[in-house]
Amino acid sequence: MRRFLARRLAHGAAVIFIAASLSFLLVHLAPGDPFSSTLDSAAISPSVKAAWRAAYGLDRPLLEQYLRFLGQLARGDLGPSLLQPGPASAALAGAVPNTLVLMGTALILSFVIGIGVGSWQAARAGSGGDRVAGNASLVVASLPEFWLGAVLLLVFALRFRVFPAGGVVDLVMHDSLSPAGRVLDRLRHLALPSLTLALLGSASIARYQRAALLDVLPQDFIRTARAKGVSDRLVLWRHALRNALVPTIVLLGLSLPTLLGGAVFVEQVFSWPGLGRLAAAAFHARDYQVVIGATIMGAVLVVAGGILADLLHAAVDPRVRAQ
Amino acid sequence: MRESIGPRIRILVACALAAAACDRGTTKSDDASAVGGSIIIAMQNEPRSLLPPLINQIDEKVVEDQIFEPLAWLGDEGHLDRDYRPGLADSWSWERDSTAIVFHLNPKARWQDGPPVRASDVRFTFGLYADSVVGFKDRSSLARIDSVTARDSVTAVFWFKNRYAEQFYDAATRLLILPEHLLAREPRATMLTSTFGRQPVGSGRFRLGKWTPNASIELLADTANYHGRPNLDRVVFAVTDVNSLSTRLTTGEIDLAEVSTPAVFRTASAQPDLRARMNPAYDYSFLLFNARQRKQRRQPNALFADVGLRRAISMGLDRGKLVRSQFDSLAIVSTGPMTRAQPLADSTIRTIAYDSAGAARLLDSLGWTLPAGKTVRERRGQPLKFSVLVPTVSANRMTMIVAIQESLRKLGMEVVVDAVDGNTFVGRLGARDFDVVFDGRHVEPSVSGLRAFWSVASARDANGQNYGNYENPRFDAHLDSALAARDLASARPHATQAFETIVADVPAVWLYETRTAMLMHKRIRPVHLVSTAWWAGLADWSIPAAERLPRDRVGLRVASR
Repeated sequence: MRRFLARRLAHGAAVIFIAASLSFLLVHLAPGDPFSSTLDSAAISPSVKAAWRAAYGLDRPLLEQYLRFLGQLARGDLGPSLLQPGPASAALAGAVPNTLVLMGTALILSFVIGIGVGSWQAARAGSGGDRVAGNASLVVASLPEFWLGAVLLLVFALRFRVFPAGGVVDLVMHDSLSPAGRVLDRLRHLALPSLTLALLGSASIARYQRAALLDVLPQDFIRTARAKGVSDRLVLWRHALRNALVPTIVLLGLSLPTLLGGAVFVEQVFSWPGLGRLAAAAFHARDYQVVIGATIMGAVLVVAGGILADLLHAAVDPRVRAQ
Repeated sequence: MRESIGPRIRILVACALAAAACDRGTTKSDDASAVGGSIIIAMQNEPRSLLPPLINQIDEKVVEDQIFEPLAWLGDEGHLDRDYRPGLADSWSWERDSTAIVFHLNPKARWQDGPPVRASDVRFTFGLYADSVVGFKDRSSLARIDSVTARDSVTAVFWFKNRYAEQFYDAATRLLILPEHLLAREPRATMLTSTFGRQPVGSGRFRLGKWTPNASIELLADTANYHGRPNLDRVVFAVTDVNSLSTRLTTGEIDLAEVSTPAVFRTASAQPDLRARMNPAYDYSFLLFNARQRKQRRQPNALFADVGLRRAISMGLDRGKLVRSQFDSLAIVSTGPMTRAQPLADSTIRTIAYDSAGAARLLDSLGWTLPAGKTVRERRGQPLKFSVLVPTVSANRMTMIVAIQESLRKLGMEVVVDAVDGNTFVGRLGARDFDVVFDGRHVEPSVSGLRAFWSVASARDANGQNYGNYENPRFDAHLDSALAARDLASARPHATQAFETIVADVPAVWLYETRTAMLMHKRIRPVHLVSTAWWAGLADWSIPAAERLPRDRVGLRVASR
């Protein structure tokens, strides 16, 4: 197991290195630089722009910049952000927690909803309810994140005014609330963005879960349980579901990259100050170090998700562990 | 030596009146109920830095004008030659030959970190703005200021190279005065990422409370300010995506937003809690023709060196219909390289009217005929085909170019939309690498910026902003006369002639002036809604005690913790 883990970590490190290098190359090859977007103006002479580039080392050959970047990266330093004062890592550190909270909540919600709906469908496979739920999950899974987010915004924030429309906390009231009030305030702001991501994720999970249960339900041990007089509900939840969770649990790790991709759009719609929003702003401003840092964070999540999926698979399936 | 000449007297009188009005506004209200409240303002783009010389967008200006002060503010009417109210300077006077203005700083003025504001700060600020390394994008507007000196600790003197109509505007309003003691040691080439830009200290009536990256900037009332405490406790600028702007306005999460999208305007302005106010337009957009070959500036453009073709294209576009269908009431058809809100603009100038049949006839007469069985006109075998460079970041331009493409297709032209991202757009614009570009400009009340965009010198300067290579010495002469005039009344005829000249030359199809609508919660009582800057009097805005929301009652105590 240790050798397996070491091998996976080594593979992961290589993937992250390649992602960082490709990101460095692509962002530097893209047209413009940090001083040619919003700051660009012909009123600012080329010599001034050249001085700015020199001040930030952007006038050096690309290879030299790359080697310097690798040196910094080896020391855990991404270099200075050009979007805001201080290192790029500080900018990322401010955004990553918000994204992790959003993704974590969405992940939990999506599995709870997905497993619940999938199991409910499997229990009445072929019925009208199953067909309706199946088609509904197919439709939801096909929706773009920003569209679903906008619809939830219109319904729950604008029409019923149950949840706030944007931000992480109430910009004025939060600090004046009691500790419990602050938690509630955060949860209210978290509701719509996490629900958007969760609904999209749960639609796929429900379909996996239904299929997995339908594979398990005809098996002998289920028939035996029923023959022993166990109720249908207990058969489903205690015997069948436990065995049908294996492929779904693997999805837990594999969902992370998808969730991160979705978070980029959802953060925009709900003005959520997370990694996706920061990366979009950084790319627009050609803030190289923040873009590369965000890419590395994404790569880390993908690698971590893959390793997590393998570990969970091994944990729940002794056959995999034996291999 | 001071002199009192006619126009200067008018300015001084106006200033005295403005000062009186200002005093009424800025003095802390005796009525304690006027004090308190929080306003949340939507901000579409988060600033990179709050260092005033590096200002790039209106959102930054709105925040910076609360933290910092100029020597004087442009008055509510926006008349450049006579309408100002005191800022850091509480009075000013002109030297006898009008080549110097003496500003007397308010002796009570202090920086938010304690030290008094001195004339040396004004001198330092001018040096900073004028230093090319810093990158103030309107640095050319300071070119006619020779120097700034400190006569004593509270008297700063601006020395000019020559007399002109906008001397006072340039000196008094363009510079937000900065603290020398905090910035003198900052390396100027890396000001963009200076810590000061994120933790600014000014002399304005609000100070920075909290900046949460990607989320909000909170300004708090500077209770010890020498002008008096602002009425509001706090102003929060919330970074808001345009897609959720309407919802956040409607639900009351945002109190105020500038809106440029008709759909958002319609939805939000229908809310009973919100009131709408149209702002004058200071942005115009146009299709700019390149008179020279792409990348080969010595060669005339094979298509657009011909004013007849440019005129035919302009005639072939029903600009009124294009603008109405896309913007509803949030834009009007543009008449030239100006907006109607500029004091020297002349909306009576005769422009090229829509006449598609006339455009077709003109094209025929130029030799661009439609061969049988073909849909694109040709001349000597060359099809009438060109590309239009459009930035994908502008949703308005991306939408309108499709309608323009269709209109010109009906006239027998093949238009290729060359849509590129913002960085590429700016790069290609600067390199003049386009046939036609869908460009836009933000203008100030002053028309001095026209020189940078349309003069011969700018066209011939490889780094100039006259990207379309438009050249007409007559235009330059009229513009120079307008800018050299000593007041707006005498500048107006010259400006009109300059505009008539450029409109007749058709260097561009003048498409639209976009107006923004300000949507504001009705509980807010605004004052000093200056036409050029609605935010200029924010510190004097108030919220009546009876109409306050829970967030208005939070007070400063919690925020200051």
